[in-house]
Amino acid sequence: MKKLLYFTLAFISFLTPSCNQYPDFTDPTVLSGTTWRCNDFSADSVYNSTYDYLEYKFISTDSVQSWTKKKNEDSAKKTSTRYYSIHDLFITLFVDNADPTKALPTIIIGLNTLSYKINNSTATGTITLVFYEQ
Amino acid sequence: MKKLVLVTLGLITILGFSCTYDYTDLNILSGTTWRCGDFLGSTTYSIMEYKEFKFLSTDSVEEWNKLKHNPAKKRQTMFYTLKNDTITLFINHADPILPLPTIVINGASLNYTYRGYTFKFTRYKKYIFN
Repeated sequence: MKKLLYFTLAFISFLTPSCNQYPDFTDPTVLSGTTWRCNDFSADSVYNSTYDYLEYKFISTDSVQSWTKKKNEDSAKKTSTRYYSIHDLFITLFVDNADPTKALPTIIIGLNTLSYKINNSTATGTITLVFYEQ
Repeated sequence: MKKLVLVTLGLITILGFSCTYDYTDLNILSGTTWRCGDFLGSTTYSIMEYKEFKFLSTDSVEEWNKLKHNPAKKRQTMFYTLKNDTITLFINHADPILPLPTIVINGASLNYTYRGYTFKFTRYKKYIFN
């Protein structure tokens, strides 16, 4: 009985630290292969009336696809493929063979979120994507 | 005897406070570790426990990040140059939209500005790396 108690305590101690772990998404090898989704657009955004969700799929350590699912469409569509690099807590997106200084959204890495600001003729605000799947 | 002890302690205290290193000297900067663990006013960096710079030699420095719930991880090793009180970092695969980052030596602290946010580093003495 005592042995069983010790074993259970040891097992709980072993499991507890691993439950608190968040993957380090600032590491491209960790980010690669993950999908992030936003389906909670701010009420005043044009996105809210148009899209079911927006997804970013990090298909490798240097490229990312964006997908959108519109409300009036049956399935999601790929809208672009971008190259990316990670600098500290920021993901810089860029288009291959294009001017690297051309401004594209810079994505901020959170514990289990990615967010970026939009400010164009149709929408203004912050898009927050939540870790969706590996 | 008591007075002597008090005078000695006072002298040690005065000496301790007056003893500051000149970190604009490469030979003094080399081998030091600096840590920023206070990210006041930044929601972006709230996921970070600390950031460290380890000046390995007179021309190379490591950047380490410790995210909350994660072990410390070396982000990169960079070359650096020091001119007057400004350290310029040369990053491999630098962010193309940004100029080379710099660190300004301000007495016993280092001020590192990145994307509009200034990190204040202090010498981290507990670390075994000098």
